[in-house]
Amino acid sequence: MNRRQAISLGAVAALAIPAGLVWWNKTKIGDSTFINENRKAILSAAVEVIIPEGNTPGAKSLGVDLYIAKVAEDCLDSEKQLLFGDGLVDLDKAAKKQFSKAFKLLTPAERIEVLKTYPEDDEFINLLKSLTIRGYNTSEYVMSNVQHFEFIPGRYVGCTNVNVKSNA
Amino acid sequence: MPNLNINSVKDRTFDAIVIGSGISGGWAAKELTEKGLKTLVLERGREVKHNLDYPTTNLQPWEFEHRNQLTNEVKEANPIASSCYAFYEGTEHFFVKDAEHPYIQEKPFQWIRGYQTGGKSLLWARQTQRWSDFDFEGPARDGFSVDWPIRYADLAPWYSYVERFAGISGNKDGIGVLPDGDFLPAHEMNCVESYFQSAIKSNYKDRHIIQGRAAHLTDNRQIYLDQNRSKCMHRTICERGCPYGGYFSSNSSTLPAAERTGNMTLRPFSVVHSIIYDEKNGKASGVKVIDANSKEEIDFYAKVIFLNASAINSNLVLLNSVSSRFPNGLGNDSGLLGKFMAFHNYNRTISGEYEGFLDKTTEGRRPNSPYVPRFRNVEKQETDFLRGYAAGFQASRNPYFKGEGWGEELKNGLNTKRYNDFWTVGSHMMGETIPKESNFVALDNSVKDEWGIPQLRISIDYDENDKKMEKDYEEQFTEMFEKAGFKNIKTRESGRIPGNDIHEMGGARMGLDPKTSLLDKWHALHHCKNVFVTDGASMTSTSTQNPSLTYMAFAARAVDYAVGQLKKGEL
Repeated sequence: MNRRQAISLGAVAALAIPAGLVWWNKTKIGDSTFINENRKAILSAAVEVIIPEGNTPGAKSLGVDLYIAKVAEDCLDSEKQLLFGDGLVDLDKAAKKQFSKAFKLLTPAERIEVLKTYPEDDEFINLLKSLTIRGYNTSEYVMSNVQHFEFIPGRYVGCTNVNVKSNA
Repeated sequence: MPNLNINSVKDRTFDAIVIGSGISGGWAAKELTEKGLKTLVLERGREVKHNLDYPTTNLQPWEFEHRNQLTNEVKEANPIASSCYAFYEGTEHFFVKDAEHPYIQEKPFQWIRGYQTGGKSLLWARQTQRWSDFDFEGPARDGFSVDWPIRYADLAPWYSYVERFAGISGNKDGIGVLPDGDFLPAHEMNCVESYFQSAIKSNYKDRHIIQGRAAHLTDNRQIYLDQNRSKCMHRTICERGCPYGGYFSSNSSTLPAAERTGNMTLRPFSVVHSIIYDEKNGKASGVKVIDANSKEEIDFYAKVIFLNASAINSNLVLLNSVSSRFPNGLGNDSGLLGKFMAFHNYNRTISGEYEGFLDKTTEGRRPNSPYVPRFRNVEKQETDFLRGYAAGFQASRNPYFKGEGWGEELKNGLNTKRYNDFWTVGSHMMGETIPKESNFVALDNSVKDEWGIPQLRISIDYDENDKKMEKDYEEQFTEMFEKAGFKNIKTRESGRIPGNDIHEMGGARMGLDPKTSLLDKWHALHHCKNVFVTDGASMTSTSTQNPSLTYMAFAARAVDYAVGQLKKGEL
């Protein structure tokens, strides 16, 4: 059994035990909760390179790491929380194995390299990426300046010409 | 709260009492007060004032802590409420939480409720299609339920009356199954929807794609400005409450109108325990209320009572109104109260793609979509199932942003607006279900709620007819999509549980014969003539149209009759 399978079996076991014990089980895996300060630092370092700063703000300066921490805490089910918290620790381990340094101490290019070593169907990496994209796409900056979201459109035009120019 | 001296019977006596302030109760309140009756409107929930109590109406998407995702805590505590498409971070406060008013699901039933002034009229989907005689004559022709005691001609002027005041947008389509009304300008169809409309027209003589008729102001007219309502701004976040009054709700329209007469007393936090029956006069004399907060029992009195508590709660109130004359519930000599409930079947959807109009897209947003009126078994029985279905239809070509790669590649993707090489098209069915005695709600006297009222036992399910109809919808819409040249057609069972359609109906059906129905042609109880039920409980059959407009017309028509009877001294 590989470690990932072990995690998912652990999660099933956690769900099967009485509700009052889930919290204990959850806290056991980390220092305080499934997403403690150390893991938050790994998360920020990842978010910072997944959508980097450039001519326009990147995910970190848009507060996407804070958004993810909030949503992970409040909206992910306990199985996904375990997967996510443990995945962040794993990301750090992978960095140490590849570059002998903590993930947050790597250069942006090195961090991307670590992210790219994960298989495409890896559950953790897809969760991290989709949360980052969701946080970025729903940020005020992106909705206002990239997607040109109109809060009060005042109209519906059923047939208009496509404008395919980039909005970046 | 108004100064009600609960010690004085005189102060607790009104000309009329309306139970419930939702879409039909709001209309009853407006009509009664405008006709000069001092009217008490009882609402079991809190007061939600138009504009003042819409806390999320001006929040931008990014201002929600979880960007409109539900938290685990909310989801786990509310499997019923959170099953509703309109329940999200911006609307949670307008829904009844599962623990607040428990009931027993003898069969799975998602009872979606809004306990506040305005009820679910704040949250509804705003589709307003008239019934026709193909609907009213359905039970008699096809031999189910009982014959409706009214026909389209009885209701037509009242449809017009409520449409003009509420503000209904739509086209005059000239379709027999869906009579035209007094409409404001219709919303626009997009290129692919118009294309589908003409493709269907050239392939079928009896099938139509039209723009849905919807309770949205598409024009500023004096009658709406007088209500302090103005044109819909297409924000499409109606369920948070609309600061413009752009869509119709009790809160924005009928309750303020009733308030302006000076004849309305609105009492929130008033859970109705029962209707009080006066054995001596053979009439109802008032309503017993449990104050939701103090749990105090208070009786109010009136000459006429309108029961508009929403379909299932109106059944609950009648079932719990027991007296020695009516040991099984008010007016329930037939023993049919709570039975023959039905709903609308939304259990199938279909999607596809269309590869035309690739240089076109849409702009802005639309709080409405096209509608496919019923075409099955209309003129005559032609399938192996009874009745038929209407459907929603929609085409869209929204831009998307690619989420591939990492770093710069990903960011570029997320910053570049793209369009698929096709339009997405989709439809959902809205099937008529057949009311049956085995689909019922009943009181369970062994379990009471926190107000001391027995809990409801709900036992409502699909049947064979529904399953056959679902199959037919899939077949017919697949064929229609194919004829229009749509590709990649996929049908899907949506797994909708009864109740989730929020179109529960019946239990106190109208009919000509007191032995087989509860209400007469004026919505009065056959056996207690000063109690009128003009919400979903009164439905004899369900047809396919979204029912709210019909309840509004019911309420206005019944008030007109009731006040006439009062004046003649007959109530």
